[in-house]
Amino acid sequence: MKIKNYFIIVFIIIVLSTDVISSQSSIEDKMYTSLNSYPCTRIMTLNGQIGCSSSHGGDSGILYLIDSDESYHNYFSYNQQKDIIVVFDSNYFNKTLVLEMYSKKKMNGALVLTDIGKTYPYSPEDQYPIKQFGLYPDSNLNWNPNGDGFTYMNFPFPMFALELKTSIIIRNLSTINRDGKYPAYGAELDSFMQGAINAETCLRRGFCEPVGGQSIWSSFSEVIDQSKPIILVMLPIDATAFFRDLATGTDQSGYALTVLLSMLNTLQGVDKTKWDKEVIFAMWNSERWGYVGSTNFVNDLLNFNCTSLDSNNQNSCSSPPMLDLTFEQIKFENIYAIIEFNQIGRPVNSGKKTPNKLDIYNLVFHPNGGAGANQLMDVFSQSTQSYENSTIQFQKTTQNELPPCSSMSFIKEINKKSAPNFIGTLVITDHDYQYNNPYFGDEQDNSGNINTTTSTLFDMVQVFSKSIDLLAGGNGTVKVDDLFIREINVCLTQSITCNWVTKLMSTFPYNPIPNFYSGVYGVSPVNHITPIETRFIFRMATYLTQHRTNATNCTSDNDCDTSSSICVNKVCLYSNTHYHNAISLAFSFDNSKSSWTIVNTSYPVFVESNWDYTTVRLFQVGSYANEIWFLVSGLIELLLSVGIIFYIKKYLSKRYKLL
Amino acid sequence: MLIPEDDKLDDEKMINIAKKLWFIGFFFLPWVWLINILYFIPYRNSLNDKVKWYLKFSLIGFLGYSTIFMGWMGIYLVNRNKWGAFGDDISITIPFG
Repeated sequence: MKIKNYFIIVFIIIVLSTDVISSQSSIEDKMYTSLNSYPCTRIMTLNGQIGCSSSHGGDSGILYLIDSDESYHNYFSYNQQKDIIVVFDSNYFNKTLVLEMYSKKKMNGALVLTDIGKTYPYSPEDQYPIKQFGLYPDSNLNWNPNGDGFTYMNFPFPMFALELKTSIIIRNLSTINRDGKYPAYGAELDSFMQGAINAETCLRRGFCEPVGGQSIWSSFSEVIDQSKPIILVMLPIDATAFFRDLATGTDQSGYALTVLLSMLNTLQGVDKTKWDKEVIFAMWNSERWGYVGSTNFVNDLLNFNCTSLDSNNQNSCSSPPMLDLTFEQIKFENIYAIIEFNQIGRPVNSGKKTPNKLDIYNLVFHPNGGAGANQLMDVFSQSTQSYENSTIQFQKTTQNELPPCSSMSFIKEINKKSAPNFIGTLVITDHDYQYNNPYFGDEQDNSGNINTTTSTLFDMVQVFSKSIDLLAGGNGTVKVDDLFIREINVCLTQSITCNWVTKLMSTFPYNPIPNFYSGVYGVSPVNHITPIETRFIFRMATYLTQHRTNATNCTSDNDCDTSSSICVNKVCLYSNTHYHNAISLAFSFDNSKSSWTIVNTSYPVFVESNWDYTTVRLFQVGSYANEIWFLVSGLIELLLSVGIIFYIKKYLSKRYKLL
Repeated sequence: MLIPEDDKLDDEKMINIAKKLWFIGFFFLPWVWLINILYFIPYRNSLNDKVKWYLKFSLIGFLGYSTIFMGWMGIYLVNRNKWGAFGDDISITIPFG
């Protein structure tokens, strides 16, 4: 008898528990819907923090849509007992409006819709980006007049951007809310950031990592000839945005990168035997956070000294840790000229037309360093004039100061002693003074932000390639590959899930939007966190500048013997392409504590907080009356059931003497 | 401590209990001191002087310790972040955020 009872009880418990478990997960699925979203994360600086964080466990509220002046004004008088999550139409999401709203009435969180873009030019960056780390820290110029500095503010509530399809859905649901219908829709925003206060505190606690990444430099030469002068062709590859997952930065960086990689593709087929100079193509990362990549490289060129080589790999240093020592072949004193492409996607229409009736656009020269730069300008001008139907022409800037650019890191260190053969710097942009980029540092700086056609893109690649060939000593015969240019343009400005990524990479991108935010450097000097975009650029540069192949039937990069070789389609490709650390010189790694510390505050200090996950969940909310009714009916049911049990107990004990 | 049949609390037992609770309270257990006092409330009219001595000092101990403890807790929680590295060193766990 007892054993039978025991089994019955166990059986009932098992049935109940499995029933509870399965119904628990399906109830949660029925209550909440996860949305595809991009968070605003937190970055700590020397003195404080910027960005957003939710409370631990998330912040929730009912959705309130602001897509018109009327709804904006009604926000302040909206008398809802519930908390509010504000849903912003793009046009109402800027510093002035958000701050005004937050100062008068607290919001629990914000969702930004991306289905309809802003109809006015806007930049959340500063008006002179990273001025204090450039050549002119006391300058009065405003290169970015649309900038309001929104990205560098601190918000104590979570903010998320929604992708296109989700934005349309949320817009509809919020409109239902506004019509006063119930059940209404609410959202829970969870983006709890582990780091807080300032960079020093959170680094000490290990709750954040330094912002940084990997720069890439590449050369067609198998070995850099140390007797030849060096021409540096460079650009910044990283971009910024308020929502860092959406930093496509097409005019800011991506378009110039397309041009540079296309130049590598074009120069691949050019006869380089007559070149009397070394040409090094450099793609600097983390430039937007204080010219971190270029400063780090210049510092290593001038000051790096390996005290003990790695015993397993002679091209690697164990103290101080440096994975690839090939950069030591580049001697700073050999630098002959610097050419930089910085924002070339929105040149101004000159008003003239080519013989075949295409518009001609103006690119602007920003020379620096004296008469030598004239020589560089002449080569570019002559190159474009040599093509009858070239849709680009050059003008010299009217400004005396260089625009914010990576060349500044080099110019700081160039003098008669450090680089005796240096003739000058040339920065080519699409703007004379103020940026032509209406969305600098904004999510809307995507492929739609380019105002020229692909024929201008082809012309830029052709003219720039010819100029570099001439400067290096070649005869200037170049032929561009239109198909490659189109394909790489799509990869870098529209969707990173493109043919070239599939061909060169073994991992598939999770997020198809090309994102050039530099990310964090890594958890230690040799343990890097490298986003897929950076890895793709490295592999593409290696592929384009390859000087040797070895069909070893390899399956991964580790099967190919050097650190700068990659395995593509079972073939090892060897090239003189290398990563270089892009981390601010403010940071040093303390091996005893296994953490980063700040050692020099005159260099930029930006660290990004760690986080477990970020989610946006949608749920439905009943009306106030509805909820009161639920409570009251529940209480009635409770009292009723208690009463019934008492009555039955009394009845049974009287009638059957059971209880 | 008390066997149900032997319900009588005579003086000797009371002193014993009060003394034990008083002693245990010194192991950083201020609430034991409070229990010491609360336990004897039903017998408050028939207390031995010695027991009263223990109870008086239990109360003083409870109030004093609580003041110091609550005071320190307040100061620590409010100022932990402002104290920088020292604040982290004296903490066993550092919460996120």
